[in-house]
Amino acid sequence: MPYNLDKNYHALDRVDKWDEVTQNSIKNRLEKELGEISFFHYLSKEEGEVLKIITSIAIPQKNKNGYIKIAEAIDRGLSDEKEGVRYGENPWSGEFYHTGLSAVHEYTKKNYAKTIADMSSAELEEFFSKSISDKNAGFLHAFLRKVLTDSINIYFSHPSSWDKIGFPGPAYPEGYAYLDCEEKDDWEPKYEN
Amino acid sequence: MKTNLPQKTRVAIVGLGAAGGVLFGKLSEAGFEVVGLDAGRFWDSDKDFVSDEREMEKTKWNDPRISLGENPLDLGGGTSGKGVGGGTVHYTMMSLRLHPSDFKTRTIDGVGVDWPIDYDDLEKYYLEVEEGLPVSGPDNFPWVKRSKGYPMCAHRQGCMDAKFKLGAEKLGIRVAPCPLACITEPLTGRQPCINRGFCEQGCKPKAKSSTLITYIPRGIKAGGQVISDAMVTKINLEETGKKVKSLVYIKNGKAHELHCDILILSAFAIEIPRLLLNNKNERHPKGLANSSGAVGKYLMCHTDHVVYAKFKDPLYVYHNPPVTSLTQDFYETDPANDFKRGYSIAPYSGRPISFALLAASARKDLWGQKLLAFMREYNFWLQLGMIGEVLPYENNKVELSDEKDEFELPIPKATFSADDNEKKMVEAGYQKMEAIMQAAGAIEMFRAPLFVHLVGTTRMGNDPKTSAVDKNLKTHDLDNLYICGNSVFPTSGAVNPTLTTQALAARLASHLTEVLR
Repeated sequence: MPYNLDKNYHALDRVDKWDEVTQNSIKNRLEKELGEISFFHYLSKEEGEVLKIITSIAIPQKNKNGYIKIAEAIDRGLSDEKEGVRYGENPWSGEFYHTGLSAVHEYTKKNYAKTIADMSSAELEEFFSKSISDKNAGFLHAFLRKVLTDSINIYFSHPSSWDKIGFPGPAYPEGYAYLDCEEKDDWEPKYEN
Repeated sequence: MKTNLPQKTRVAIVGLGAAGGVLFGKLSEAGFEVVGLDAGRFWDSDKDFVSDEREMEKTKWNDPRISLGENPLDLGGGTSGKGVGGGTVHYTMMSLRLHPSDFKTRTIDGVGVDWPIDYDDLEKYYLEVEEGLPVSGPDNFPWVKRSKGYPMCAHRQGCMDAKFKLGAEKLGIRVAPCPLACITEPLTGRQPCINRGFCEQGCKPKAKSSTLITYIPRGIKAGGQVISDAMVTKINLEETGKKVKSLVYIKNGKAHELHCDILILSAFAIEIPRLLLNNKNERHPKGLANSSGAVGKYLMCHTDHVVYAKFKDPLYVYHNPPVTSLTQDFYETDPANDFKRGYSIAPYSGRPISFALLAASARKDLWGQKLLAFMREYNFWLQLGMIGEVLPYENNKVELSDEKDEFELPIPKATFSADDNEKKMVEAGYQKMEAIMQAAGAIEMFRAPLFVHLVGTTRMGNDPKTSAVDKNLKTHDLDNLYICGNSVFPTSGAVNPTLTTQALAARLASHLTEVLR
């Protein structure tokens, strides 16, 4: 691609331009979900560590600085309640994660003779790639698809991910004056051709 | 606004979304005592709405539902809302009329079933809600005859519309701005659209004509009462078994009974059959209004299959409402096709999460570094989608499962499988969309399957043996029970169903106004 996105663009530089309710919502998210300190509310510590490995395959993050705690954010949304859409005969939300993490453990023991924590990067990639692309992998396939979906939901709700893709984030009360292909509002992320 | 919980009312409406909102506004303004109940919160656009995809998931239905079949549907999320305003709080605002042929698919094409009403019966109510919301639209909409123009000028066209138009017109395909329930001129208390883009996340400037900020406030001003966070769990009948006596709802963990002369269910295509099927008694052993056995059956949706197309220059699709232009050149049955009926095509602007989720669901390789690389080109991609007609099949249905929810109600389960006609239509639609994008200069493309909207499950018809409600939306079996919404559609059409649902609601309100007087 001949275009380079402005690396100095940060959606958060404009946080004070957003309406107050949106500001508070995003600030609250940053406070809860950024950093290295890990704590799991619903899953056990062991389950949480396994989920961290899986989410880091789904959405790899290079920098420890500004690390988005995807696994921990998923954990915060889990409970024993029946909620949302359940596809087929799979368990409901919280139980779905317990069962899925246990299925991962069984799979890696059987196919790699080790736990996921002891697997190399190449083995992790191979495991994830095989299971997520193969519908015949049954529940494991459904589980990894769900982890990917939840990870996308969390990762792309953070301003640092918007900076990487050229999305300016909230735009109220300002809105956009220019909609055509050529001109852009002066605060939108720009590309150098 | 009244805050006491009444024990009796003339008209009770269950579900204050697209249909219930219009009914609530119109019947209250007609001077009747009206109580509207909604299972969710009474949203405050200023305090509750956030310009954010993730947080605004709270406006969508998240109570448990089970999805089955070869093409299991999203039964909550994008298809149904929870809270006053219902799905109109987060819909794309596309306000399209059915075509006259949609009402006669059995007669014209030998598929589906004819409606007991036709386009001319509904035309004046289409006009009424287009003005009541109001809807903005083009001077020339070439596919459907109208007796009057749109009340507001069409929304501005953006970069994605220009690309779509370029490709379509090279192939001789007509394109027009999409009619939207979105104001383009100021109205009292409402700002015209500022193109902020988060339309499916509630509309903070109140440009979007959701029932939350249009018909429902009108109803409250006229004396109607809203009871939010109220889950209706039961319908009681009079001793004759021919009339509804009252309904029971749970609010703050406590059961309340509300007596009514007229009960209207406008709680969408899953909650309505669930409530009816769960209210069995000796006189109605298959559930209320279900002597035909049709309740829950003929569940439909629309194909919304998408072609992702990449261009060499950025499109910046994040501004604009989700859809601002379309073509309906492929709407009617074409004898050259190997399928009946047709589809609309429109470019769609997705915000990052929805854009990434659909792409990742369609491609096996979009995870890890490859997903991140794909998303770095977010601004260079356009999603082109088809809203295609899905025919009514008896085996696509909503039933009760053996599992219970927090209200001790059976959790609903829905089964959906696309058939041959849909599969052939989807392939034709994909090819057409790829041709348009290629003509517009796309340098890379891939396909993403998707089904949207929920339609059917309490269909209307003249024959009480094969339908749940008559042409006036009264249930065949009960004298004072009415149903209004997507669930009464006998066929799905190939457009977003909301405007037709609202026109049916306006028609029912006028009918009841005559009956009750």
